[in-house]
Amino acid sequence: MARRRMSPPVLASALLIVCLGTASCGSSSDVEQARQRAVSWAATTTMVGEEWSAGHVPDRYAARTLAATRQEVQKSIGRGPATLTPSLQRLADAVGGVEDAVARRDRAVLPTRLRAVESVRAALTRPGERPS
Amino acid sequence: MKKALEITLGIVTSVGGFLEIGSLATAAQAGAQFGFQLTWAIALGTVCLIFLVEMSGRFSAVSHHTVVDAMRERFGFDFFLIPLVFVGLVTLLVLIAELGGVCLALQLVTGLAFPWFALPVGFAVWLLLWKGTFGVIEEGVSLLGLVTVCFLVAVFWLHAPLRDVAAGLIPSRPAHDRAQYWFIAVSILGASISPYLFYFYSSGAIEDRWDESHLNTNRMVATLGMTFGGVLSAAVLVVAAIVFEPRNIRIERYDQIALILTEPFGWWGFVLFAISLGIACLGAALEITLALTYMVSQGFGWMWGKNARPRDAARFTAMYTSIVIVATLFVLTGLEPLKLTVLSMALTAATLPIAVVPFLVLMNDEHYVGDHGNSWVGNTIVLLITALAFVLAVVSLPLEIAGS
Repeated sequence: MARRRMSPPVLASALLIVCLGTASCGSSSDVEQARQRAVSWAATTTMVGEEWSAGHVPDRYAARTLAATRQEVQKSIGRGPATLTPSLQRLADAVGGVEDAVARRDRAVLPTRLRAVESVRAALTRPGERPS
Repeated sequence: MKKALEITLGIVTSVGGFLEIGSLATAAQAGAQFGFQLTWAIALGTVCLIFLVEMSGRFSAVSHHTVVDAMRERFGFDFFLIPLVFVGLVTLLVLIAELGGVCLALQLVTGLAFPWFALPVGFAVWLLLWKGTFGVIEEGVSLLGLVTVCFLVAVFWLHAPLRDVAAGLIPSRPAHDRAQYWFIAVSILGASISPYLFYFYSSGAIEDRWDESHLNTNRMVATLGMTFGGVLSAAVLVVAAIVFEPRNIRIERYDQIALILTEPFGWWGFVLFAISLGIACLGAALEITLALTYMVSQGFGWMWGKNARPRDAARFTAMYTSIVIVATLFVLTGLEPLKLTVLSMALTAATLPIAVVPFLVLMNDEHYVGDHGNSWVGNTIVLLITALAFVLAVVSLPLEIAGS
């Protein structure tokens, strides 16, 4: 019976490379992670709003997704870094505005509500809001 | 002519059955967060899967044993308990994620929360297993799964920069979120190289009474079917990279992934995604339930076979019934589906050596495979990719768990 096994030096080298690579990288700071997540929530809200407005997604899907997004933003307010709290609060309100427009099926007011989300997103991506 | 039809059907069902919740979710996350950069992980996983599936089909065709059956016979029952417990538990997690995926597809369409669908979906899976033959389960649902080709159509519809996609086939260091990058890479590998796939394929070869005359069919089906399947998985990554990455959307929930096809196809994109998710997960749930049942039944030496009547294989039938009930109960609890999916894929990668190494020993044992044993190329490639997936999983899993 022919048995072939990976030689210990090869396995050890692979392990070393991966450990060094991953350990040296580390993860982004908590603030940066929280900021990126907030930007993602804002972008999700915008995309859902636009697709709903274009009639590409059902009302109930849009309502559920926006509600879930707003809840995530609200949950993060207490837990996230204090420096982001004002932005997160503004984002929660802005997402709530889009959610409200969808709930009332008010396509006319939607662009204004989406602009509010975009302005929070722009603020989150401005250098002043970013952790140094 | 009959052989050509058999090969075509085999390839088509392999393609249709390739995408499931793990490959969909991990590819979408990868594309959204890292663009085309993780395409290499899909390619690597697919290459390993091609080898493993070809080997398992060859093994069963030549030895007339399933992989599990031979593992127990060759290494003894005590040793066999190790893969049974580890691979079995991780596969059960994957099954819960797949059932959750079917429920999520229904949530997308109806707006009702996914746990409401746990019982009807669990019952539907059980009923299909009870009433369906192996052919119906394997080929029927997989043929419906061809709807997932819509992701490939979207790649061309969106004019994907194919040169950039090709550049992603070469592994590179990420510019940001490095721990997350490696964790998603390992989840992709786990989603691609799931042991249940080649255990299931081996049992299927016995159910379909394969012999040495099927070796060419096996080679063609494994190579072409898995390659096209891998291309579909890569298509999900590419579309996610085009749709989500420029918007800075990170995939944290399935309802975000539902927007993946609306840019190219509008309303139909949403419908196509829901159908793709539902059918792909239903097919995978059926296959995984059967794979788990095969594993236990063959391991304990029970009468097994989906083509047997339930009364003739009572313990086999009771086993898949129990598995579906347990998985359904977990879905009912409303577990966060995306986190469960990605975690179960990474755990799959961590348990790969337990499933793969004994199998490679069997593939080199003349007692079973005669002169149809593995070449050094096959052994080396599978061992290296398995070792890489294992090492990445061991390093990145604790980092990811600590990070979240």
